[in-house]
Amino acid sequence: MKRPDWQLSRNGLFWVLLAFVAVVAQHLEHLPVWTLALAGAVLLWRILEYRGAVPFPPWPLKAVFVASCVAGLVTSYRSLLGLEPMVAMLIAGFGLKLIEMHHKRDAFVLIYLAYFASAINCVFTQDILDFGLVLLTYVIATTALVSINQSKDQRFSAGPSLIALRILATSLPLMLVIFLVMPRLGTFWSIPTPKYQARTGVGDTMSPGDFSRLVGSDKLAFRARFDGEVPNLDMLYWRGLVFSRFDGREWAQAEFFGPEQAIQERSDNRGIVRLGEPVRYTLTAEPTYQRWLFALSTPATPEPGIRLMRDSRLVSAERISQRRNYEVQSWLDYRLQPDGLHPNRDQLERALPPGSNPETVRVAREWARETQDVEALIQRLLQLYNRSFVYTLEPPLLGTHAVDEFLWDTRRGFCEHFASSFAFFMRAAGYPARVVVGYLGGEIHPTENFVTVRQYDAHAWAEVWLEGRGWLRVDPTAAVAPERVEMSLADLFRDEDGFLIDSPLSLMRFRDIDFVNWIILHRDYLDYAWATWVLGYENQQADFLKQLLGRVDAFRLSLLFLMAAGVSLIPYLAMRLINRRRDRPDPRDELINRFCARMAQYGLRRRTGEGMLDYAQRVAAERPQLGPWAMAVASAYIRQRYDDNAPEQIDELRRLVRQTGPSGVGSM
Amino acid sequence: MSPLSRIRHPLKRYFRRWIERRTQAVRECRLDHRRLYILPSKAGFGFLGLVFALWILGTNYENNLVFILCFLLLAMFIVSIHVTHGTLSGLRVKMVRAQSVFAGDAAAVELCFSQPRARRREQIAVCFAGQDPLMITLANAGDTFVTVLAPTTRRGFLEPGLLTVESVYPVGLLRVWSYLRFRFNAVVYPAPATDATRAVGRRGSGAGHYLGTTGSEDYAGLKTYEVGESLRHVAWKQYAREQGLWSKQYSDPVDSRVWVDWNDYASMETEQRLARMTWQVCACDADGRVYGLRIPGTELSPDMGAAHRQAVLRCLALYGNDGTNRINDETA
Repeated sequence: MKRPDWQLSRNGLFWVLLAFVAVVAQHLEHLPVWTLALAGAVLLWRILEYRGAVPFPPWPLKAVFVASCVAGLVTSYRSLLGLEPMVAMLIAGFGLKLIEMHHKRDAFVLIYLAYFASAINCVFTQDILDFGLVLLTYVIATTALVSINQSKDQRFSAGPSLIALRILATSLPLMLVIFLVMPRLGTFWSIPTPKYQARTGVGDTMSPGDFSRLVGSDKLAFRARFDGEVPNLDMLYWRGLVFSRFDGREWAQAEFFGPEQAIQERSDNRGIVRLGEPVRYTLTAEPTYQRWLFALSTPATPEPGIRLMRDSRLVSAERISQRRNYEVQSWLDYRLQPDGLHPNRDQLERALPPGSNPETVRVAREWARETQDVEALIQRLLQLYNRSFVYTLEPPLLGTHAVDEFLWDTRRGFCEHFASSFAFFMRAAGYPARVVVGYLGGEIHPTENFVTVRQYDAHAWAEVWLEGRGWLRVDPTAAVAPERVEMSLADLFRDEDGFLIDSPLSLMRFRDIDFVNWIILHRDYLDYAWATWVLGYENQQADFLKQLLGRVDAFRLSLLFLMAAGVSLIPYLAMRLINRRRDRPDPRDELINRFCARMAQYGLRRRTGEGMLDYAQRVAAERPQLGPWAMAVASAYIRQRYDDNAPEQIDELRRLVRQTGPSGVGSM
Repeated sequence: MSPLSRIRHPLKRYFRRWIERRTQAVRECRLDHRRLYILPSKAGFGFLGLVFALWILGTNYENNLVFILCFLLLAMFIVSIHVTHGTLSGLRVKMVRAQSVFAGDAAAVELCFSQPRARRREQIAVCFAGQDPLMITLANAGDTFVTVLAPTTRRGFLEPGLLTVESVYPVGLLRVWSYLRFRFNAVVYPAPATDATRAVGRRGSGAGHYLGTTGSEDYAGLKTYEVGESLRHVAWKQYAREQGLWSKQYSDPVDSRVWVDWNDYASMETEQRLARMTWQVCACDADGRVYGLRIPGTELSPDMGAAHRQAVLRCLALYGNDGTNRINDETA
């Protein structure tokens, strides 16, 4: 069948453009600037084109557009493999297609592109609010779908969005069941993951200033839900990375233990002694695009793909590119390598960069001579911190010999300065020492046994290796600011300028207000449930289905599907029932139809279009015996049906119709 | 011929035949699940492709949010089956009247779409095979009258084949359609074939009916007197009553009865004969002649006027057609 020439309606154009804007807005973060310029140009052109101010772009212009897109993609990404270039390409294609929408097919393609490009956003971010935006885009795209299928005379109206919302809303039950039941197959082929984009978080090196920057952010780092009670805040040292290499200014991981190294098949438990009972918890990590994971020392996990390293860290086989749940048991009482260090380790963790921080080296050696054992040495150093140092978010800048300057001159610093100077000092005194970074504490949710750890909880502390004791955790920050260990950083620094400098409107600033606090706590819980039940549903799927259905078999699953379909259709069926009642013919017409049927038995069928009075007269003429009855019914009917002034007496008509016909009139 | 079309064509033909068989001729019908067909449109298959692509994306990234979106679209597709079906479901289509035309012309067929209550049904395409579709939009309760063109090829009863009523409203992902076959009373006249040799019909015998050009024998009426006309024709009686000056009109009786006769075209095939006879009927009618029809089995006595012309043409159209299967039922 040939279709009439198709032209995009104003309404259709509006919604398609809106879908485009929504998709671009979602991807703002991952798009290079030129795509935005392109999007703006395209939008403007399309609108002018619709208004007739400019023609469809001639081919040279199109060629220029395409060439500039290709050039932009190449210069921005160099390689077209990867998620960001793909998104940029989709959006560029979307834009180019937008200016030459000639057929209905083009509009369909654009809308499908909007659906797809918007879904990709879920790979980048899985925040509940961002997902809300994606859903909003879906509503817009569906509205566009409806509006391009409407007749052209539809002016701009909310009509199509109502239809789209109705369709989407009724799809929800079915969607839910498919989501619950559909088996997850696991990745088919290796895929590009979003690149690490200077997100706030603990990095794989540490130099002065790194941590005070983190304090500017209230972004979520991870959550942990404990099976029992949450341990005290001062036990919550979430270990992430161990820095053993020091170049005088910057700490870094030991190369041969770095995350880039191929991870052994089995976890390495050597040298780890666990004492007492473990605490159990499930950790929900935010994407870091790195391999390290956070846990309390010393951890063990049943999760496949996560290994325990010999320095008591957890490392994932793959980069954490989306939220991930993992179960951990941690023995808070432990001994780490009490029997001696591997020679390589020993060498690395005693090493001092030649010529670095000479003053500290001198003092450390002097103190080591003066004190009889290492505990006394540590105590002496911690006392020094406690007496003459200031814990502050805004420490002065440090030069080449950062430790020297900090220890003997500025004496104002943040956890990284304390940890770094402490570890260096201990090395200079002749003991293996290193810096451990991760997070300290977090916010304990009072009722749900879970802890929310944010970026501003980032922390650095030190470890010293002692003969017979193994690695001992020493937190010099605790010596200078014991409050930091006992309460959350948010409470400590609420009024300081550097705190939450990145998030001027953060709710965290207003925790004093009960209502705000309530929102924060519940949002945390909601977020946790979101991570467990939605983002990590595949971990719950088997248990949940078993719980729901008792037994998972084909019959019960089909029943579930049928129920969902039923629920989807309930609004429609209800509508139909209501309307059927409304559509029922007038009772007077029903009565008269019954009368005519009776007359038909006597061979007097009412003709199409024959008025009731004419009919009655014809009946009277052909069958005089029936005449009076027919006339009575006809006049009663006409009075009831058409005379507005007549009192309603349907019963009277009913009585007349039901009256037995005159005897002696047999049917023919 | 591609291998695919080698499969598709017989399938299409089979489907067509099956449809032809199961579509009964009616005057009026209600579109319901027995008459409606629904399948994904091309865009719908594209949409399923999109759902598949999202599923791949979700599986590969093990991303449950993408799964949610994927299944949302899938569920939307399933719900759309019902919604799109509803665009046509419950609609009543009635054939109101059809025009009789000559073979080859398109007959205007007036249809009535009615719905019991107000409901927006947009973008319903209505057409007979091979015609451009007429797009209609229904919004209010009650009747909507539309006229579609039916192509004709052969004389006989109007049989334009199946009427397709279809829609993809509201999401365009599915196409719901119905085939309707109407029982028409209208006929298709044979296409006239010019026959210059018989511009004028044979003169019949007996008294003529028709009053031809101006003559002097029979009084035909009055007309305003014009200067120069014979005074003998002035209607003096009317003049005397001071009703103005009129002249009487007379005309000569012309025996102009024409028989359009089957036997005049003895040497021809049936269809050619009928085509020429049709032309002759048209010519006589245009000339204002009185004409009758002689055709085996029927003879229509000479007469004139639209009704007569119609009767004659209908006779020609249905010649040899077993007309008994058509009853002039109530709307005849």
